[in-house]
Formats: sequence, C-alpha cells, structure tokens
Amino acid sequence: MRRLIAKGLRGGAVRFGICVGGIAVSTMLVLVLLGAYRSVSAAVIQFVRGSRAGLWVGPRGTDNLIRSSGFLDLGMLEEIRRMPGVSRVDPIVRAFVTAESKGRRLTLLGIRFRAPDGLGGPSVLAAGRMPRGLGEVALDRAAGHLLSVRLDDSLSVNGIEVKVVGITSGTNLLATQFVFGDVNSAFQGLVPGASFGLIETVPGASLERVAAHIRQQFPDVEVMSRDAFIRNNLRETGSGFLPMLFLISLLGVASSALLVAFLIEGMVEERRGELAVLLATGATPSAIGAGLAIHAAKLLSAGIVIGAIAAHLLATTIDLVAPVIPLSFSIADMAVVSALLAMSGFLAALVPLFRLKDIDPLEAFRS
Amino acid sequence: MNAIRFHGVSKSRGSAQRSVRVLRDVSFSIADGDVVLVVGPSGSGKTTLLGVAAGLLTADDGEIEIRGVRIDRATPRVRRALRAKAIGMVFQRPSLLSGLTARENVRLMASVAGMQSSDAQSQTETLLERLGVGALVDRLPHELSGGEEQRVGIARALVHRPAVILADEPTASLDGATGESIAEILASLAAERHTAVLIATHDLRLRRFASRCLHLVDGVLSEEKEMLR
Repeated sequence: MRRLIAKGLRGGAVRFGICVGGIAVSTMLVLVLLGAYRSVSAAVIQFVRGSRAGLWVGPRGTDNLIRSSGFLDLGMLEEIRRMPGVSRVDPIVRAFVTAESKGRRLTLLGIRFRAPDGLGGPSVLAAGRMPRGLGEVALDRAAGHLLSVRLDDSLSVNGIEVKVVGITSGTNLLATQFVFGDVNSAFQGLVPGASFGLIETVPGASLERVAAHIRQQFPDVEVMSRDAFIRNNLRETGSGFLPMLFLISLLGVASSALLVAFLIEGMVEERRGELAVLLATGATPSAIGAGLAIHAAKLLSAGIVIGAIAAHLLATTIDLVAPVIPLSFSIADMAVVSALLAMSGFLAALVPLFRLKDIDPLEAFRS
Repeated sequence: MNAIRFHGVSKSRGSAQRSVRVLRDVSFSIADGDVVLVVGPSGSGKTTLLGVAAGLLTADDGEIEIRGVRIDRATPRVRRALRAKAIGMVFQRPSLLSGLTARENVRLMASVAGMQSSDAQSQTETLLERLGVGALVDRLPHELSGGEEQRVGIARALVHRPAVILADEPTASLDGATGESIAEILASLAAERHTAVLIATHDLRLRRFASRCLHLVDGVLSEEKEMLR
C-alpha cells in the first residue's frame, strides 16, 4: 500500500529531476570540499611519514611545517648526530620561493634536503628521479601543470635557473605546492641554518629516550615525534580549512534538505484533494506519511548516488586533465556524507509530513 | 438488515458564537441493496450528512449505525477501519491518484481495506470490466475522460465489497448522458452486491435509479413517497 501511495503521489519528472540534480550538486559540493581537505591532510602525512625520520627537531615555538620560523644551528644538529641512539641527522630548510616559467609565476613551498637520499625528500616520485645537487629540483605535479613545466624543462626558482628532474605527487597543499631542491643551494643563499632537523634512530633505540636526551641537552628546541609532528601539521592545515569546510558543507546539506522539504511540501499542497480522498476512504495518516517518506527516500537516494558518482568522476577528470585541485575521498567519506545528507533530508521531509494532519478528509467531498 | 440507520441525529457546525445547526433530528434507514437519494439546495446539509455517516464528522446527538456498528460512538481508529472495510465512497471528482493507473487506483483501495492480493486482483479486473473501462486499466487518470475517471472511482468504491456506498454528487461534473449511465451502473452494481447506496445530489434525473428520495432543507429531512425503480 505504501509503495502504491508513493507511486501515486509522485510528481512531475522535471520537478523530480531538478530536485535530484540539486541534491546531487550538494553532495558533490560536500564531497569535493572533504576530498580537498583529505588530500591536503594526506599530503602532509605522506611527506612526514615518508621522510623516515622518527624525530623532528625545530626552533622553539615552531611545531609544524606550514608556518615555521627561525633556524637551528647546524653545529647543534651535528652534536645531536653524535648522541647515543641516533643514526642520522639531516637538516631541511623550508622557505617560500618564487618559481617562474614561460611568463607564469607561482609561490611554492621550497623544501631543501640533503639530495638525493637525505631525510625529508619527496616520498613519491610520479616521474623522473631525485635531484642530485645544485641546479636540480623535483617539482610537484600540480605546480608543474600551473607553470606549464614538464620533466627535464627548466624554470627559475628565486631567480636561479634549475632543471626539473623529478615530478612529485602527494605534495599539493592546495594553497601551495612543494618544490624540492638540494639543501646546499639554500646554505649558499645565506640561509643561517636549518628549519628542522630530521633524526633517524638506530634500530631498537627508544625514541622517547633520545628525545629526552635532546631536550636535556638543548632546552631551547622543540623535539617532536613523527606522529606528534603529523598531528601539529594537520591541526595547522585544518585550522583554516575546517571552519570553511564545515560552513560550506552545512550550507550544502541545508540546501539539499530544503529541496527535499520543498518537493514534499509541494506534493502535500498540490495533492490535497487526492490525500483527502485517501484519508476519507480509510487510509491511515501513517501509511500516507510512509508513502511520502518513500518518495523522499527515493529522491535523496537518487541525488546522493548521482552526486557521489559525479564527484568521483570529477576527481578523476581533474586529476587527468588539470591536476591542480587534489581530491581524494574514501568509501567511508562517501558513506558519512551520504548519511548526513540523507538524515538531514529526511528530517526536512518531516516538516511537510506533519502538515498532513491539516488535511481534512471532508475536503474530498468539496474538491 | 439495515445497512445504515440514523436516529435523531443533529449536528451543528461553525464556531461556538456562530454555531449553525446543519442537521436537525435526522432519522432514516437504508436496507441492503437500496439506493436512496438525498436532494436539497446548496448548504442544506447534504455533505454534512455524508460526513457524519462516514464517521468523518461527529454527531452532536443521535445514533448512527453502519451495519449495526455505532459509528458515532466508535474511536477514530474504528471509524477509519469501518470506512476502509464497510464503506465505499464516490466523490463529485474522483481525485484518482495521478501517478497510478486505473487498475492501481482500484488496487490501492483494496489494499487499504486489507484484501488478499488474489481477491483484490480479481475484483479489480471484474469491476473495471463491468464498468466498461476494462480496456483502459493501464491508463493514467489524465488519459481518461471525466466519465471514465468516475467509472474507475466507482470501481474503487466497490472493490472491497462495502456494505454502504456514500456518493456525493457523483454526476455533477459529467454531461447528462454520461451522468445517467454512471448512475445506472452504480445502482445496478449496488443491487447485484446488496450494497446500500446513499447519494447526495442536485440531479433529480437520478430519481429513476433510486428506491427512495429524501429531501433535506435547512437540516430537516423529509421523505418523499416511496418510488419504484
């Protein structure tokens, strides 16, 4: 009976299609934003995890890569290298640099490491190889696209001509992308020290003990485990992104819910005569409500599924055609977004459903 | 056995300050298979009479029985169940669900009445065939003429074999010939199925299909002399 009622009350295909389209766009909007945030987070995690460093040391007050200031003395890093349990200490220098090519200009986050195999280099090379010294860089894929630069092309970084020998992926933070070069080029550019020291410990050494030792010897530095450093960076990337993601997602979810409410309200209002006949002939309000709820569920399911598929296709297309906006969302992300939209849409549909009680079955005699 | 029995039924409508007595001490009964017309000018209380009979309105005084069940004393749930199982309704405009075919509209009523699927199917097909719309069962309401829609509406009212049919101006939106044929078929189906029919109408041509005619003026019911169909 409920399915028949749902079928009987369905509206015009055009209106249904418009509402499905609206819900699909809302779904895409939320998924794209979430996908962008996930990608930025994944880039941070990938870079820090891929560095092989168990501990990160930075100047006091600097606990993340995104916004860091100050420098560490290279001599201090050398002293840390000699501490028990430490097998390797490499400096990295991070600084915003200006890259130019073919008349295009872009600000990048320059990471200079002990090329080619020092700690803190790019963890995933999409093409090419690691830079091997001065005059060579590995450039993020999106930055390459924006600068119209390919492998083996040259570009200017802070006015110095360098060759792109590697293309990296998972190094796009949306607002900026990474470019990797040799740390010696930074020191030649009068950089007074390292932004961070990356520490690899000997197998079996206690990270906590090594960290405690460093803190004891050098109380003016920040010593962070890899996981703590990741958390700090995620906090930093999320601090600007998450409020916006939340706000826009909220608007997306609200607009989708309003569309559902609008359609169901339209059905209740336009079909008063038919609903009154149903009520007069003995159909229960709950059966009619369930019929309308089935309609809302169909609307939401169609919109969410189409939106999720479209978001996936959009992410794939962007990655293939213009990989400047990294979008990665998991099945779990899709499930969460779908559940959120479905729940809000369903709640919104309850508003017009409650208005069923305003329909007097006697209207059947007057329509 | 009386399918419908009204005894001393009164009903006022409107606000407490401007209350109007729409039905005044109305008494009548209709036996199984009888077709009874209620005629009267607009505002005379015909629709209220049907509403009270269907349990959609509660009488202020009096007794109303549908097949021996006091609908005036029943709970809303029992009234609804009674409407679903024992009462069929025909409206001026059938208001078929626009998304359902003729067959599905009739099946929906059978489903509301809780009929077995096989019984509902055979009743639906039989009635639609009998009403002359057997070839149109898969058409949507907007693909039917007014007369065809009303025939489907009658099938909907009869599919669950109700004891009583309450019809409100069933021919008002139809042309004369179609209206008469609709009334004729309703009367003949009611007779075949021993269903009591109460028709509220302005259309005095329907008299020839009725066994009795009741006049309702200002809420007061008076009986016209018994007629032969």
